[in-house]
Formats: sequence, C-alpha cells, structure tokens
Amino acid sequence: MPDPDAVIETAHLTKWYGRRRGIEDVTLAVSAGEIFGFLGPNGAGKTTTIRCLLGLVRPQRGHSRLFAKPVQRIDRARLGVVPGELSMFERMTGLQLLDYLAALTGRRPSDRADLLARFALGSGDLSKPIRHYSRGMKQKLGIVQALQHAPELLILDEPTEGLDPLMQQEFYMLLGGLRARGRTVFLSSHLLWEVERTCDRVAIIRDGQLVALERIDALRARSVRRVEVQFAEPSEVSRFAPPAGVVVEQVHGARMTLRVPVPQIGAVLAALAARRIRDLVWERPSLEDVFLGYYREAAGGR
Amino acid sequence: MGVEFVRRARFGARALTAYAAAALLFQYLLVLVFRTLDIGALGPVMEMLPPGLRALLGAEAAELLSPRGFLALVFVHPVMLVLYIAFVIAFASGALAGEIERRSIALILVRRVTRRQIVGGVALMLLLGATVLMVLLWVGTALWTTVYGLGPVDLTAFAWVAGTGVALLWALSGVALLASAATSESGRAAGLAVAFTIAAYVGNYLANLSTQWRWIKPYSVFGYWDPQEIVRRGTGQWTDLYVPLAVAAAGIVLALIVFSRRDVAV
Repeated sequence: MPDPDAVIETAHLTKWYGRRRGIEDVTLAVSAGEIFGFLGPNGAGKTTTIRCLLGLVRPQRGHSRLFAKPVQRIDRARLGVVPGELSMFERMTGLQLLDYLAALTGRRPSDRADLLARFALGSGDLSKPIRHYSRGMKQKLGIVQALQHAPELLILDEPTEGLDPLMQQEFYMLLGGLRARGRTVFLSSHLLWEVERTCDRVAIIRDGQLVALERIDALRARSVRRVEVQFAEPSEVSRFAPPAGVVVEQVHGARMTLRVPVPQIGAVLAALAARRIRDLVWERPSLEDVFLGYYREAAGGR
Repeated sequence: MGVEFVRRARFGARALTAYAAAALLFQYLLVLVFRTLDIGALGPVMEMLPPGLRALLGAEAAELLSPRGFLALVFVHPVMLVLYIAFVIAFASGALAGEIERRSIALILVRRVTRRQIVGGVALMLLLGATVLMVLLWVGTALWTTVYGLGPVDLTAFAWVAGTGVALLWALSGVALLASAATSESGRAAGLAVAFTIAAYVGNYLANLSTQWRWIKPYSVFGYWDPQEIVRRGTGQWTDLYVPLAVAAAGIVLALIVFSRRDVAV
C-alpha cells in the first residue's frame, strides 16, 4: 500500500548494470519534513538508488515515487539535487551557471543570496569561469544551485565531499534550518557521524541491499565506541573492572582498548573515574564497525 | 527548452565561427590558386590524371579548369569536407555523450526539461550550424566571383550546391546525433559517426571509380552530393535533397527515442 504521507517511496527497487549489481530489492519511504540518511560504503548502491529515484536509470524491478507520483510526472521545480561526483559546465561562470539552472527550474532563486553569503561565495568568485574553481568552491556552488529555488525535497549525494570543516559546519546548520522549515532531505553519505548528527532516520545499504532502516537514536544505541585508556601504571589495569557489555579488546602494558556500547558510556566513565589515568581517547565508530555489529546480530539471531 | 538551446547555441556559435572562418579562408586560398593557374597548359595534364584521382576530384562531370567547375570543386575538396564534417561530429558527440561522460548532464536532467527537449536542442543547433556553413560558402562564392571577376558563374546553381550540401550535412548530423544519444563517451560517439562517414565516402568513391561498383552510389549519402554535376547542368535534382533529408529525419527521430529510453548513469 502506498504511504500517502511519503515524499519518497521505493518498493523492491532492483537495478543491475549488465552483470554488475547495482541494488536489489530496496524498499523505503521518507515522510515529509524528515531528514533521512542513506548510509553505505562507496560502491554499496547509494548512487544507483538515487539514479532510480530521479529517473536517470530504469530499474529492472520495483518502482519509485516522489510526491506520490512517478518521477517523470512530478513538477521538478519541487526538487533540488546535488549529484554525486559533481561536475559542471566548466566554461560558464558561477553566476551564469546559477542563472541558467534557475531558468531551467522555472522558479525564482529566492534563497540564492542567503546561500551565497552562508558559503562565502562573493561576486568575485561568481564572475570567474568554473574551471578556475577549487573542488570546495565547486561543491559549494553545487549546494547553492540545488537549494536556490527553495525546493520542497532535496536529494543530496555526498554533499559535503570536498568542503572544508568550516563549510561542513555551515552545511549542517543549513540542514537544521531546512528541518525547521519542514523541508524533506534525502542525504546520502558514507560518513556515519555525518548522518548521526544530522538525520532523523537512516537506511544502511551494503552490497546493494538494505541492511537496516531505523531511527538515529536506535542506531546510536547499537553503535559501539572504541576507547583507548592510558592508565597511570600497569597495576591500574588489573584493578579496572569493565562494566557489563563492555569488551576489553586489547591490553598492552598500562594501555587498554575497550569497545563500549553507547548506553554504557556513563558506566565506563564512572569506572574510569575511580582509577588513575593519564590519557583517554574516544574514537568515532567506523561504518564497518556498525556493519560488523549488524552482521554479528544477524549471525546470532540465526 | 529555450534556455537550454541558448546555452548550446552560445557554445556552438564559438565553434561554428572558428570552422566557418577556416572554411572561408580555405575557399579564398583556393580561389587565389586558381587565378595563378595556367589553364591552357593544365588542360592536357588533367586529361592524363589517373582514374582514381579523377574520381576523387569528381572530374568526370566537371569542367575543372573553368571558374564554375573549380568553384564547385572547392565545396568537395577533402580539406573542406573535413572542416564542416568535423564541426557536425564534434558538436554532436560533445553534446550528449560528452555531457554524460563529463557527468554535467545530471544538472539538466533533474530539472524541468525533458530528454526529448535536450535532443531537440542539440539537433536544432546542428541543423542551424550546417546551414550557416553552407550559406557562408555560397556567399564566399558570390563574393570571390565578384571581387576577382571570375565568371560566368550561375549563382542559382551554386544555391543548389549549397542546398544539397546542407542536406548532406543534416544527414551526417542525424547519424552523429544518434551515435551521441546511444553512447556515454564522446570518443565512442565520434568514432561511430566518423566510421559511418568514411564508409559512405569510400562507397561513393568506389561507385565513381568503376561501373562495377556503381550500385553502391544510392546507398551512400555522398552519392547525393555532386556540386560539379549541378553547376554543369545549372540545376540540382530533388532526390539529392529528399534522400539525405530522410536520413537526417530518421537519425533525429531514432536519437529522440534512444535517448528518452536509455539509462543515463551519472
């Protein structure tokens, strides 16, 4: 049954490029006003899913709908897209490109000035041909072209690629603003922490198949942090009792590496506070760690 | 579609200006060469040319050493052919396949423009470009004839020459557009279009060379492009327009269908 509130809906999407797998049986729905993360390593099928959503490629099986219609029948002015591996018309100036794409969209670029100010793209930058732009400037221009006409739905394929940390922060703030304005965002990324901090829900894709589809807080609860503790002396190591659920991965002299489920963070900090420690490093979990968690769970369930 | 066509026209106009300038300059140089020729001494030499070379020059139908015959030869000179065919193939292959290869087409396809409109815009620019090239060569013919007092030259016959030239270039445009619509790399699209053009040219050359191969002529688009025969007769044949135009129409329609249905994996 189609979800009447879904802005994006796919059912059993399957796409093969000849013998090469694209995606298999991808089914998901994104509601209006949601910031939806689409997470997976490179080559997992994120871009293929987006291509199917946008009607750039035809799936062999299944279908996708935007605003409850096939993509060919929607008003594309409601859509803003930052394609993956963004490439532009290099001979145009930045301003010419923005004007051209706005004219093709058929909507007034009402948000352009604000976006240009946010991403520090001045008139001097915009008057230069795009071939003289750095990677980061092109990416910023790519974000501006997608958002300048205030679309209701944004489909962003790895939008922060090439942005410096300052501009990444600006982008995350921008996403917060879009959430407040009720816009729907489909954000594809291979960075777990990026999705974790910006999205409401997440789908995880691996080898062309969805392996998880859940709320971010549930994902966070499942994820594990790697903690490296440098005790003041080796004897402290033996005195440290890890709380339940915490796995001691490695001990080397006075150094101990732990795998800490997020709900156990408080308990670990309390246990560490009772010991003399010299240093403490918390690592963000990699996407692989999350996948391993899912696979372990799946294997355990069998 | 208007906005999309304007972008292509802007890009195409630069290339077209360069090709047109080169074609006009080459035409001018050939006219200068003609003025220095000793016609009386060259007549017997022309008779001694081997059949292969005469077929290449189209000399069987031409009065090569008369101004009108020589000016007609300018249109089919290999350098001139390469110049205007290069424009058609380079523009067509760079437009669709080239933009897929560079991935820039993604920015257009997600907007309010249909794939048919994109192909239509490229086709329109190709047809206009081909027309401009041939019209300029006709203008050049009229200009050099007047400036250097070459004559008598029937400019109506040369209008037929330009018209059939436009039809030929439109046919090659249709094929190049189809190749570009069906592939994802400009090099491959250009290669296919060049292969078709060379096959058609060689087929027509063989047909001119020997009666044994004459049957090939109707199957080659170059078989409908004979400027020297037109200036000799003073007029052209409608089939020289219809057949290449049918090839052009078929190429464009197929390109519209293929591009609308294919995957554009950018």
